[in-house]
Amino acid sequence: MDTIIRNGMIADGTGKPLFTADIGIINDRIVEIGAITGQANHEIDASGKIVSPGFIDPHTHFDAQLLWDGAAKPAIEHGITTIVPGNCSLSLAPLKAEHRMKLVGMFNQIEEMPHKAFSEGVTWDWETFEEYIERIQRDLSINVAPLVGHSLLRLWVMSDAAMSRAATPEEISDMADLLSRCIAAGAVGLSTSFVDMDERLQPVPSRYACTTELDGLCKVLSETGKLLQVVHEFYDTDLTLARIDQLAELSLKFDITTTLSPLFLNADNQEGVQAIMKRVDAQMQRGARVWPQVQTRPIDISFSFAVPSLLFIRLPSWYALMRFSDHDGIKAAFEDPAKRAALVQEASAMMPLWSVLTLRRVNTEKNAHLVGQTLAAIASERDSNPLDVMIDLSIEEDLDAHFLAASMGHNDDLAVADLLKQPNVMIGASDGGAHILSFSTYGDTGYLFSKFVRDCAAMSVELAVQKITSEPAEIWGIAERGQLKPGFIADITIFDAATIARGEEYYVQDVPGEGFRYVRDAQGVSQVLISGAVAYDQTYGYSEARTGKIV
Amino acid sequence: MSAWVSDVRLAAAHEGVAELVVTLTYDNGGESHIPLAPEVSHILMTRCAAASAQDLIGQSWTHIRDALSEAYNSEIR
Repeated sequence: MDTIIRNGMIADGTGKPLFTADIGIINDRIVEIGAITGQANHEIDASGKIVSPGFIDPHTHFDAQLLWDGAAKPAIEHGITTIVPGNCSLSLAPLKAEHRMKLVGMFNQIEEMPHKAFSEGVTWDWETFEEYIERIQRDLSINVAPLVGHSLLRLWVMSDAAMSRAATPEEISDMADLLSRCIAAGAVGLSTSFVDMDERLQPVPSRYACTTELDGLCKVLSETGKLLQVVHEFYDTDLTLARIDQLAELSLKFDITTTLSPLFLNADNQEGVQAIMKRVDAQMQRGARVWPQVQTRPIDISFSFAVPSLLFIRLPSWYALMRFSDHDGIKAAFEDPAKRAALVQEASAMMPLWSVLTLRRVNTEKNAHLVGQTLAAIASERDSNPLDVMIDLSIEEDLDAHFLAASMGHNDDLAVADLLKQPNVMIGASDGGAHILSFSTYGDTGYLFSKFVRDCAAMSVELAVQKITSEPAEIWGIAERGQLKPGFIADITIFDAATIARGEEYYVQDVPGEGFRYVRDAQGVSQVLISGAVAYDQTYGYSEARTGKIV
Repeated sequence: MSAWVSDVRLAAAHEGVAELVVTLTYDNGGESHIPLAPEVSHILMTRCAAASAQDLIGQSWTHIRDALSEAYNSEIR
C-alpha cells in the first residue's frame, strides 16, 4: 500500500451510517476499506475524525485564479477536491485575442474580478478551449470540471454581433461545432445566463440567444451526455417558475441534466421558494432533471460612503447627501456640526442596524486594529455611539472606511436547512473565486457542517457529506469520484466533526497586481488527499503535490 | 393594462450590494417584483423626485421602464 488512513469514521458519500474502518490506497485509487493489517509507506491516523470523499463545489469562478494558483486557494483546505469553473456564461476560453478586454470587463462587472489581476496575473497565451485546458493543467493541484461559457461561444463565432442580435442558422451550427470541440477537450457542459449585464450595463451575449440557438447547443449536450447550467431571474418567483418549466422541457427533449443557480431563501420570499420547489418536484417527477442550487452561507452586504448605497434609501437626508454630493461634499456635511446633528437624528431610529455593523476595511494604520470589530464594540472603546463611530471613521478614513451588514438575507437557519436537505436541491452556488473585494466565497462547506449539522442539528453528517460529494458527482457526471469505495479515485477529506468551520473572514493581499481579497482559513480539516496524494495538511499546509486533473 | 408601485423594500443581492425591490400591482390585482440595481434605483428616484424609497409608492410602472432604459443606455465607463 502507498497510503493507509487508519481508524477513521467513514462517511462514504452514499448517506449510509458512519462506520469505523481503514482505507488503503495504491497510486491514485482506493483499493481496500475495512480492517487493514499490513503497513503502508504513508500512514494517516484518523482516529476520531470523519473520513469522507473530497467535496465538490459546483458553482465557482476560479477560471482566472487557476492561471496563477493551481490549488485555487483556499478551496482545498476547506475540503474541496473538485471545482466547477466557467459558470454564468463566462469561461476564459474559447477566446480570440481581440475579445480579451471585453471578457475582462464582463468578469469585472459580474464577478467583481479586478482588471489588474488580469493584466498582471494572466499571460494571454491561449485562444482555444484546448489551449486553456493545457495551460491550467501545467500546475494543477485541484480537480477541475470546467464549463464552457455560452457568451464565449457567441463572441468567437459572431464577434461584436454576439452583443446585438440572434444567431443565423449557420452561426448556430458553428457554435455547436465549437461546443463539441470544447467538450472533447474536457468541458463538462455549457453555462448560460438569462440575467447578467456587461461592464456597459448591456446584456451579456448569451442573452441574445433565441430558443433555436439553445436547442442547437442542447443537442450537442445530449449527444455527449453533458450538462446545462443557467443563471435565471432568481429575484422573481414567476420568472423562476417559467425558467424551471423551460429547463424541464429542454431536459426531456434532449435527455440532459440542467441546473439553475442561485436560489435564495429570504424572509420575504418563503412562499415563493415553496412554489419553486413544488414546481421542481413536479418536473422531476415527470422525468426532467432540473436542479436548483442553494448556497449554505447567508448574504452579506458591504458599503462605504465613497459609493452611494441603497442601504440609506429610506433616510432622505442621507440618501440625498450620498446621491447628489461629491466626496468633498459628503465629508463637509459629516464635519459640519449642524448638518451632522440632523443626519444623526434621522438615522438614530435605525441604531440596531448600525450597532451590528462590522468595520471591514480601513486605510490608516491607527484604525487597523479596529477591523473586524462591531461598531457597538468600537463605540464602547471610544465612549461614543455606533452611528457617530460610523461617521467618525468615515471622516478619518477619507470616506474609504468599509462596513459590513452581515446576514442580510438567506439567514433563517432552520428554513435554509429544510431547503438544503430537500432531495431535489443541489448544494452549491458558492461563487468561489468571485466577488473577491466584497466578501469571502470560500468555506461554505465548513459552514454547512458547523451551522446545519452541529449548531442547528438539522441534518446528519452523513447526509451533509452525501449532498456535497456523491450527489454532485452523479449530477455532473463526474466519474469515479464522490464516494469512498474500492476502485474509485482517492479524493478524500479528513475532518473533525466537532470543530470544522469556515473560519473568520479577513482581507489579504495575495492577488496579482498587489490586489486584495477576502478569504477564510479552514478550521477542523486535517488532511485533504487528491488522487491519493496529500494536497493539504492542517499542520504543514499545502503540499507540492500537483495531482489535480481535468475530470 | 396599467400598473403602479405598491411597495418597495431593500433586498440583499448576491453581489454583496443592496438592491431595491419594487412591487408592481396591475389593474387585475396581479403583482410582480422587480429588483433594481443601485444605478437604476438612483435614476428612478431622480425621475420621480423621490426623497426616500417610500415616495415611490403610487408611481406608474412607466418610470421604472424609463429608468431601466436610461441605465442600459448610459455608458458608465
